Amino acid sequence: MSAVFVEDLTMRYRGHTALDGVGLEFQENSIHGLLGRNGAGKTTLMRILTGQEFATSGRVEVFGQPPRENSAVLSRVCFIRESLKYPTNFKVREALAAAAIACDAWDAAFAERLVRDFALPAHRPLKKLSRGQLSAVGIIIGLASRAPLTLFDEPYLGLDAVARQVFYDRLLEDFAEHPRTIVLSTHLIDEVADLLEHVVLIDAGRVVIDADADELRGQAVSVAGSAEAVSAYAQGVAPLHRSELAGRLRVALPRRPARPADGVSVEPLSLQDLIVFSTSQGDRK
Amino acid sequence: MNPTSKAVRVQILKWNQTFAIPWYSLALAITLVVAIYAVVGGGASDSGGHTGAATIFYASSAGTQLWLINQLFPFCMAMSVTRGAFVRATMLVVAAEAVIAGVGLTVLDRIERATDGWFVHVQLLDLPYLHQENVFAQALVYGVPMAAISAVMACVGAVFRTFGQLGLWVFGMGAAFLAAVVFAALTLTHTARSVGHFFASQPSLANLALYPLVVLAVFGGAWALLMMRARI
Amino acid sequence: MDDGRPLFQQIAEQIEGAILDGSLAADGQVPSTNELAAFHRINPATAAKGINQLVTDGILYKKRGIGMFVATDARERVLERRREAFGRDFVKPLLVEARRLGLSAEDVKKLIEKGGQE
Repeated sequence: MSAVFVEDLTMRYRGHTALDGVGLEFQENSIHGLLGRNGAGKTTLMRILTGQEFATSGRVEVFGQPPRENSAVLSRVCFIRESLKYPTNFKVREALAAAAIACDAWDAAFAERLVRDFALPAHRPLKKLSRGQLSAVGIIIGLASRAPLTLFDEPYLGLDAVARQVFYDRLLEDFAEHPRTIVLSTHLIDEVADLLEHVVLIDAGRVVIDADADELRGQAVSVAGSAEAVSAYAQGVAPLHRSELAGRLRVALPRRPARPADGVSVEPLSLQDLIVFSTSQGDRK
Repeated sequence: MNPTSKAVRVQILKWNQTFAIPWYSLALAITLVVAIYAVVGGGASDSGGHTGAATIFYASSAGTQLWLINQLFPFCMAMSVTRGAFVRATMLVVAAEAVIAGVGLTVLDRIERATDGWFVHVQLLDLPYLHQENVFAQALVYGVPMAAISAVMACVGAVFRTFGQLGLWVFGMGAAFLAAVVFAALTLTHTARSVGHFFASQPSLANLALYPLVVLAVFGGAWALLMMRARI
Repeated sequence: MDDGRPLFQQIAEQIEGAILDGSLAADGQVPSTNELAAFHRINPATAAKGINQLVTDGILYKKRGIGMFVATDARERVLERRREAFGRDFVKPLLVEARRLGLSAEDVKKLIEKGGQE
């Protein structure tokens, strides 16, 4: 069964459509990447999946049921956002205690280890933590919850690269031992590219890419060479991006053309570049 | 563990800094007042001295509901607690709070009577208007207003969450306007006195338990409706 | 791990490399999927795909309940396959580049002999 099934989902606010006919599916026990620009609709989608927001129209199912006001479903879901609002008078260990109450599968020993890994002062009030430490609390809650569906929405604000790597490492380790469905929404695509099995790109409220990560990695290419040679080689394939300088042309193609590469250098396109080039850039349509 | 009891447990996690506050305040008030009376010896006559210091108990409970709604509610939503579970949990907690208040204050009240005003002839809890012979009625008199205050504050918090600052302002203005209209109507129709008589002639049990129950129902109902639609 | 070829393929090739140079002995045990995933910092499913590819190719075999092992003739198989691919993956690009630089086949041969002596 798929952990998440969404069909023709639309979310309209006054004067603004956040999601426009979105359809996707997240398989169980897999790590999914939900990518897109700020304001693309990723957070709105995640809020709808976790029952915090009610869609205007469309079908949403989490573990086979609509999540809205559904305790049976929501008790198996954990949603960690960058702007998670903790009660300001809570201490770190109280926030963890509350999560332990709310999450059925909570692993206290794991939470303890993570608190040490992130060097968090357990008895300090949350309002006295740095931005990075606050993010670490959210990450610990998300990881130790062992929730069958765990969503992370840019959870690493303020975390330095070392701490982020700790997060990715712990996430992978725990996922390997205790598989669950993880949805990771991020801007730092290259950092997580190797973790993802499935990639969904949302742009302006619509799904632009929905593919297996391995496939994506192998498909897109960057072609460079003389303007003539590149144009000839890329004939018939609409480029994602092109840049030209002094007779040299570089294009990003969504897939390799069938013809042999003659006089051009063909390199794989990184996932980050693929995502960036597939996203609208304001004025560019 | 069912969702409502999870929500209850999260709400009372910091009971020491929320629900226990009224009791600490009351203890402090009693201690201070008794100390003052012991030293100053004022009101040492048979009638004793009345003081409204006990109202601090109710006043200091007002903040809790606001905290619950503005701080704990968004957090609970983030922890995948449904709105329904949160609402039910709050009702249970407020009811428990009221029962504990009723029973606890009744006990203190009887102690006050037994010790003839804490040994210094002061009346903090056993005020004439609150005095009930029946223990059960006494508990109601102390407990129901507690729940009513919580309901009103919770409703205020919910209005703020749903409609923001502006909404709160409108709510306040609306309430003031309504009060003015009622007052004007009473005055113009010369029924103010008879209304006053009506309430005065009611047994205190009705005024302190029954009508607050109405307040509780109205504001509690409004609060519940708003919470189910509140934006996180 | 930023070569364009699919990650699972890179994992498979790394294991093959270890078999070739003897780090992984015949009939010896191969690291588990989870160990590989943690080591390379990749998704366990990807690591599993790489392993499964090698099982399909007869390089590894599975002992149920214990783990993955190197096939007895794994080294020979890998050698054979890589030798076959040698011409396609190394010689051809070499000749293309040589042509671009204006080196004849003779020039290339001389360079190879020189390199072989070093």
